[in-house]
Amino acid sequence: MNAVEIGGIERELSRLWSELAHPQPGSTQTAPVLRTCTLNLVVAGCGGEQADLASLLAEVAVRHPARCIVVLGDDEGERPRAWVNITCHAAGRGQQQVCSEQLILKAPAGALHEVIGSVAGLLVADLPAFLWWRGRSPASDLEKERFNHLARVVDRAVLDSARFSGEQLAGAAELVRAYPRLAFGDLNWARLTSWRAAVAQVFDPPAMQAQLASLSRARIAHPGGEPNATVRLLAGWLQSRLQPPPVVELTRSDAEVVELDLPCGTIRVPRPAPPTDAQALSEELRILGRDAVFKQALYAATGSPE
Amino acid sequence: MNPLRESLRLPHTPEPCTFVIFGASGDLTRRKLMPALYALAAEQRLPGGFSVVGAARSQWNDAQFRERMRAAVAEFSRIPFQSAVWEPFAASLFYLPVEYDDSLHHARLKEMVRTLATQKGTRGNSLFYLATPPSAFLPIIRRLGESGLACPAAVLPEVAASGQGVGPPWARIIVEKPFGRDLASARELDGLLQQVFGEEQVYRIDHYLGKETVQNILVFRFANGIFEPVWNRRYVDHVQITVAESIGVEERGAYYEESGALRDMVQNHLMQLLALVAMEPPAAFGAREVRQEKEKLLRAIRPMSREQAAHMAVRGQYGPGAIAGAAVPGYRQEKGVAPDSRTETFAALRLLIDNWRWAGVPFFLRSGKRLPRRVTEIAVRFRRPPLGLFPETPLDQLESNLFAFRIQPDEGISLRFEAKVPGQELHVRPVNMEFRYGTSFGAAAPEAYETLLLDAMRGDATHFAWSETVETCWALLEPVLEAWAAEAPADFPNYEAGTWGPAAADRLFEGTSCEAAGWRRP
Repeated sequence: MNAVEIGGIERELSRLWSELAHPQPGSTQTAPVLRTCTLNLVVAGCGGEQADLASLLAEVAVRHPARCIVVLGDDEGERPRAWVNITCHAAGRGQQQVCSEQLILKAPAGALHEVIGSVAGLLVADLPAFLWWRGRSPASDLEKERFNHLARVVDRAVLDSARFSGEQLAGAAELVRAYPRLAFGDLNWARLTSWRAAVAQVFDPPAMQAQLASLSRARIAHPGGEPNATVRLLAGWLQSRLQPPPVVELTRSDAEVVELDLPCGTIRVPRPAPPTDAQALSEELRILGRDAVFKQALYAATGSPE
Repeated sequence: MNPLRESLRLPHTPEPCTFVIFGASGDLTRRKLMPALYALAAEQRLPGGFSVVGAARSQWNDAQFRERMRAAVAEFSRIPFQSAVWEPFAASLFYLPVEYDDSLHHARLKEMVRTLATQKGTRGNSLFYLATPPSAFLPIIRRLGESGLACPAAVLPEVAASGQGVGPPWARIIVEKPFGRDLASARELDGLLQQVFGEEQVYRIDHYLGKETVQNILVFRFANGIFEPVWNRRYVDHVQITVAESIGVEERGAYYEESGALRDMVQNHLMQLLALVAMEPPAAFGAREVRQEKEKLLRAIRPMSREQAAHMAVRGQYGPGAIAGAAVPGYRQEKGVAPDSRTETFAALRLLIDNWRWAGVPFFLRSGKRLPRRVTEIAVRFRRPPLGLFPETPLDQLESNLFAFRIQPDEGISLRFEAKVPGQELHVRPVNMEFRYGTSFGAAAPEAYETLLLDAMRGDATHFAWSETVETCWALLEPVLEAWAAEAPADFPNYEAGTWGPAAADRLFEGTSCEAAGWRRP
């Protein structure tokens, strides 16, 4: 990939698409390509290796062909630059390549804001726009300003509270409250889906639903020291879904298990294998609107009023 | 409603159950059912404790059954074969040789289901699939009643009696088409089903209803605000529904002789497609509401008499011809087919719907074997504009707008509209705007049987046929069947393999407002 100026991105994309549509003699490309786009995905914040990010986005593109715009700080660069790539995968029975676009925008710290400002012009019209804010919840004024700028041009913001401390989780709740018009998601919440489904399944039979009202106490066992954001969110979910809210204890253990104290006995629900980051992000990208259940679980987990 | 299920994002995983396939050594299991179950296993959609019992006449054992199903999955599954998925899945496959009308064999089957219920924790939940020839349906259903397998509490009475904090176990039965071969036999089959099972336990499968593109018809119509206002007699000129196959009867000649195109395809698949494209919006997207609207629509179809069948229904039989450059024999030369066979391999109908939405709009249905290509589509043709504004393209040269739902292959939707040809003159030509499933969403859609088997395990009957609907469709087609049975066709075979059916089918358009249109070439 050659670096181009931010203003030359669309021209570079046109050139690449034209190359794919008309492969040169000697090219190894055999199958026809199809440009398709179902959403815009803006990736910003910090954390994680760029190489890991590229492979993750390629995996997500299989389910969600998209224009991905990755905004990164560049400690070594002197000015903003962009790299443009098109990734393809075989669709259906392999006769056609479905291709997505990846735009990587890098700028030194002093110019990052300008680069972030150019994101709005790069979004594909009439398609949903997601922001994946990697790393911690915006804390510094600069991070908050950057988040604010991107939040104005997207429809949904996806955080990742996996490594949030209790204080940072509360910060995420504050962020959700500060942007009432923006829908929020959380990769960590997506990683909880299978565990939540396993707990919910216990109460699917009508006779068990009748016992829900008697669920006054539960325990969530977790490894490690302090309860992490994952188990806090899960506890918040139970407390926000049930009336009256049960008392949920977070206890240390080697295993990750939910224990529900019911009149018929204690039911243990171990955690199923969580999805990969690519799978979790794919799940969040399927949701276009607000996730009221997540918001309520987050508020309950942090003791925030609704 | 379970409050923990709200916005859970994952579809409801079914409860553990034992899936008994009668006819498990047959083609349907090999090509469709087992690959579908494997795909569900690969996507972790099957519940823990799920197991399969193959029950058929072939004298196999568990190992032989597993080996054959392994080969079937490797050949037919849309998900590449992976040992890591197959091995644990195969461990839950079992086989029992049975004679379908033998009470002793059914007693053994019951014991096997009971053992699995205890070992796997299914509580007696059972799903039965009739993948046998139709002649075996009645004896199997009777034996299921007599053995107690239709009543799940009988399999594990101690569980049912103790009520150990769980709901009652269930038993369901999936019945493959054809549901009878006429109204009387359909009622007989239904009567026995209702006697042994309750209607809520019966799942009449029409695999078309599990196709993503068929389910998309309702989404297209009712999740978009712009189409319903024009989806009626004021704007629609006519509708054509085509289910075309390029293959012949292959090895199923003997079965097809008893069936024919009208019973095999029109009575079920085409009538279901007609209902979906023409029904009123349901009050809610639930099984009862959707099926009620479909039934209402089918009941509004104007019945025809035997005499009317002569000019509103056309039958055909293919003779020798060529498909894809290769010569193919005629139907009467196929294995298992009588040399003077009267069975139709092509059927076409013109129907009218007597309701406010569709009065006066003809619906043309056709289905046939050995047509030029395999295609299933619904084409909704709209009326032309009231006047021609463009002198260089007179009104009669303007193509009317057309919505085409392509069910298979190359699933998608296309809209044809007129556009100006670039240049100095104002010439107008039709262009197509297309949505293709396979390339618009990136991920492959599940196969129809995966969706329907999972629905049956979950107890969702939305995409299964109702007994009333089955009988309504038979009642509509009875006059045609009687007319065709009463008079031998004088001109069979009357279309060459590789053509779009008999010329007589074109006459269905005569005397209608769409006479000039004729059949589409999909």
